[in-house]
Amino acid sequence: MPMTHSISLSWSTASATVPQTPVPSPAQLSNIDLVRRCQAGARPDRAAFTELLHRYQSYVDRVLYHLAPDWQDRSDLAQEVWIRVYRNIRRLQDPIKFKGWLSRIATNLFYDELRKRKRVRQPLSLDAPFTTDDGEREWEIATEDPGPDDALTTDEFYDRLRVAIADLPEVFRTTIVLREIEGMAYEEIAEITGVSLGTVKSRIARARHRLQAQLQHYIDS
Amino acid sequence: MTRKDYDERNRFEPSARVDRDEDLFVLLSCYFDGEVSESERQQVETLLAADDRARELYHRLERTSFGLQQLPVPPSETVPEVTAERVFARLRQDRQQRWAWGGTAIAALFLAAVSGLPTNFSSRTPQIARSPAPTTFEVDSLPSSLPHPDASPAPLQEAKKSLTARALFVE
Repeated sequence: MPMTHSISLSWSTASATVPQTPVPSPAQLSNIDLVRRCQAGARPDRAAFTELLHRYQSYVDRVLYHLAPDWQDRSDLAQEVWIRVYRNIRRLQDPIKFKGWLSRIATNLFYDELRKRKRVRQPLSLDAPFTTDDGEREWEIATEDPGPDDALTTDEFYDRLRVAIADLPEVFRTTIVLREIEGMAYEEIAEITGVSLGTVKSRIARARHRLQAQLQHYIDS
Repeated sequence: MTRKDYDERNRFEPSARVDRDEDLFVLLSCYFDGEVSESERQQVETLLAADDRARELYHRLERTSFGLQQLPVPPSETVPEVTAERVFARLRQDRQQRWAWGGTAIAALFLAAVSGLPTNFSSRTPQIARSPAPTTFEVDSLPSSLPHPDASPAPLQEAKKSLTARALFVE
């Protein structure tokens, strides 16, 4: 009996000395660990997924805002993005690439929706040469914007930029957004938009050129 | 390399100044994004070092890009917690719908199996193979190839043969 008693004591001592490592809450995790935790179970952990959504929702909103500035139901689209993330996050092999993967989901969803809506925009005027009817180069056209003496605030510049982006023909806007906002490589853009690399180069340059022409005053000042 | 050199080097059509401008802009744009080959990179860097116009265009590219990057986006209508709630609600709804469909399908199959209604499926229903039931009938006249019942018994070998033949005939 004494023997048994001593064994029992040693066990209880041992168990008491084992340090308990507390599981960090999702808010304490890095982005990568958060993605890993979402990938861990059969279904993403609810708290971890909510935290992930909390961290990246503004990014998704930003991407969708630039891709579809005139759509009123972007929040529904964003919700659909997160549903796809929830269902497919286990397929993401490298958690470091989560942001790019998320961006791709949002973009694909936008294209799916675009195809459904069969939105017809104005003809692709940017496909015309960089000249106007009178042969003058577009970037030399005098702007009708207020002169440099006017007090121009940053807000005004952004308002103009927003309008200029929204005015871009569909394919040019999406291409420049994929590059500037989502940071995609040209090859990736070519793949996702289904055009050649040369077309991507041309579209990005033309979109920039158009934006510059519309914002020339602000840019130069 | 100056702009003139660039134009000389990229002389596609004698009167195509506009095209060259466009090519230059595309090249600068690609360079800005780091999407150029090594030779193109050197070409652009030489051009930027020597040509004011190219430099001006490039600075505009930088400013436009900066503006795009910094462009504030209107705040989302829904806070993340609400979006999360909606996402979970939709996922739950989808799961319930799947279960409902699955249950309906199983119930339909069960009913079909119990009622035995789908007679057109009978050809596919496995059946136990059965031998035909033995049939007895009167034989009025036997073929001449068979021995007459009143005839003297044939040797054993003969009897076996005739039985087989008779059985075959009956079938």
